[in-house]
Amino acid sequence: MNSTFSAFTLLAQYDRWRRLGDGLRGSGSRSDLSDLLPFFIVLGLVCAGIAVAVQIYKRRDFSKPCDDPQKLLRQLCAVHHLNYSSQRLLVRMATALELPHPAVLFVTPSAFSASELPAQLSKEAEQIRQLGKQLF
Amino acid sequence: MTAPLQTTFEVLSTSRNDAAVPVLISALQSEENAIYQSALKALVARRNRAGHFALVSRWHELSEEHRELVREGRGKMSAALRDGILSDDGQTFNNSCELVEEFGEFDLISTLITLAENKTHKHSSHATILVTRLANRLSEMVHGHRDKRDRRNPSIIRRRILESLEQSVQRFRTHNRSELIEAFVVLGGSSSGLLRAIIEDPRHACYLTVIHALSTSDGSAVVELLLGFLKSDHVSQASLTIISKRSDKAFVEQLLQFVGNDPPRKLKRNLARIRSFAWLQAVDWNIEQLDEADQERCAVLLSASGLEQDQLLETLERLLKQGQPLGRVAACQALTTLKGDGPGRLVREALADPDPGVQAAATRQLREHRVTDSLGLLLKLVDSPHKLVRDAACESLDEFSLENYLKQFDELKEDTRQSNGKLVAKIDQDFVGKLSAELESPSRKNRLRAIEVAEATGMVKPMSEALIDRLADKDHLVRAAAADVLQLCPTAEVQQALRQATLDRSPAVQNAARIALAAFAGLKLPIDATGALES
Repeated sequence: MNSTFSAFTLLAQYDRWRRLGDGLRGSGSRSDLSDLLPFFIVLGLVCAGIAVAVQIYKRRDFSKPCDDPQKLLRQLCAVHHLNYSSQRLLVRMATALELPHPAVLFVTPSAFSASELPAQLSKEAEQIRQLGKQLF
Repeated sequence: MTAPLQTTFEVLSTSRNDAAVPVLISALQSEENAIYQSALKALVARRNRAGHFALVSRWHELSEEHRELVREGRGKMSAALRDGILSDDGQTFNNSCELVEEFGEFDLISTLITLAENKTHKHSSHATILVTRLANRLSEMVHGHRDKRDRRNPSIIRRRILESLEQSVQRFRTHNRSELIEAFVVLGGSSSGLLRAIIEDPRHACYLTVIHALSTSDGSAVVELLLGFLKSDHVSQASLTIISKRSDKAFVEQLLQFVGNDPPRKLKRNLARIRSFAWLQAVDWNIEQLDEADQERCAVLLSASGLEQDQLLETLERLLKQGQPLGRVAACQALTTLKGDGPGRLVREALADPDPGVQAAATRQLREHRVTDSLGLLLKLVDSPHKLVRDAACESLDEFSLENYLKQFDELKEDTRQSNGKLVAKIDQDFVGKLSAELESPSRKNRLRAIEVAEATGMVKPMSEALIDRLADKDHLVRAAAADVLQLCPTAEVQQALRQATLDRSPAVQNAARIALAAFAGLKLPIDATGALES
């Protein structure tokens, strides 16, 4: 740990570190790639962070042309201020009602009436009713 | 519609995510009108082929209110309509055809042509009909009958469509669809080189079809093409034959307007090559039904044509007897070109026409057609109550001029001088002017003769001013003759002038003036009267 820290310090003061070997025979031209490993690890982490940020940005960016049903669902949930649990519930409803796409629920008010609910959603009936009220 | 639902449809309308389209299509199954209507609007607004296709395939189910919403998509739904036309489903095909026609989607004509050419396809006949209708409509648009809201340039569209139709003409032997050739004719008009080439080539596979289309189509392009033939320098007899065989009233009216009242020489030359007109024997209408101006043009056109004399005479007689005034006048004028007894008989009959214009036209032709006792008739017509007729009679009696009268004057007996002179004074429209000029002639003999003429023709009164001027003539014989003749015009002005003349240096003039004044005294004229005194 201490040696890693020293290596960083030395990396930061590269000119001095290079001069440490001055006067010692053969030591000036020898370099070990393993010494750069920490540098590459950090670089990898930064790239991964950027990639994640880009993905998150893309997920939330609804201005680009696409044909993505999941994204449409997220877009609709976003404009109606629905939380993740409501979104999950809509997906479950769509599956139970055998709808081709959960977003169809946004234009199907009858799907939210208690009488139309399939048995497996009876526990969430109240939550579904509230959701229907919010969407229509 | 509630605010949340409105928000949902705003997203579904504007989202760039095409996954919204199947959602909207499923909303078309909703029984709630607000949702159904919003889904329709959103699908129209989204430029998505599948979404538009869903609308096209449901068109027949839509109410008028909903159709109005779909009509907003005019001009944006071409791709979906093309899919609909190529669809195997009969209802979708019919819906697409209806919309293509309603929206005027001319770009789809090439697709329709392909379908029409394939006679084995179940929608081939319907596609053919639609091509014909669209071609007619485009032709009307090119020739001015266009919807102001439609900003498309019909000439550019026409050029593009014409290319497709010309290719179809080349494939005529394969598909044998005469309707497509007719559509080509309707749209081609005078600018199509291929159409002109076909008309000139009787061996062309499409020749008969093209001729049939030209003989029956009332499309503006066809009419324009046919009328254009009449203006060209080298028009084939086949083209003129087509014109002569057209008998529909709409075409004839356009032909008459094109020819006008005074056709140019080139047009007359081409018209002279037409020896018959089918419309003269039309069963559903006759020339008496043309409006007045067209009847006039009809007479002009027929007289310029190469129509047989008997047929021309018969038609002009029909116009003269049953036409309207302008038509009758033109028919009467057209008789000039004819020879024989027939025209003379018609001219004689036209003198009894109630319209002065017709009488005048007939009057001008009395001598030309050697009508019996034309001179006697003309002399009677000089006294017609209608100025037009009087003028026409005077024109025809041009030998009754002052010049001719003066030439013969010295040889005529007194009574002939008077009778002929009165006729000349009546017929020669510028008698007074010309005689006044003669009174100022440098020749004394001429001046003296002019004074005698004024007396013989009874024109002293209208000539009084010029005669008073002669009281100051340099020649005492002229002055004396003027004083003598002025006694026939007892006006205060003349009386005053004669009083002056009594002081003339010539005793002969003084004497003549006194005699004239004495004659006035016998009439007991007021000495200082200033107004005109009637005898």
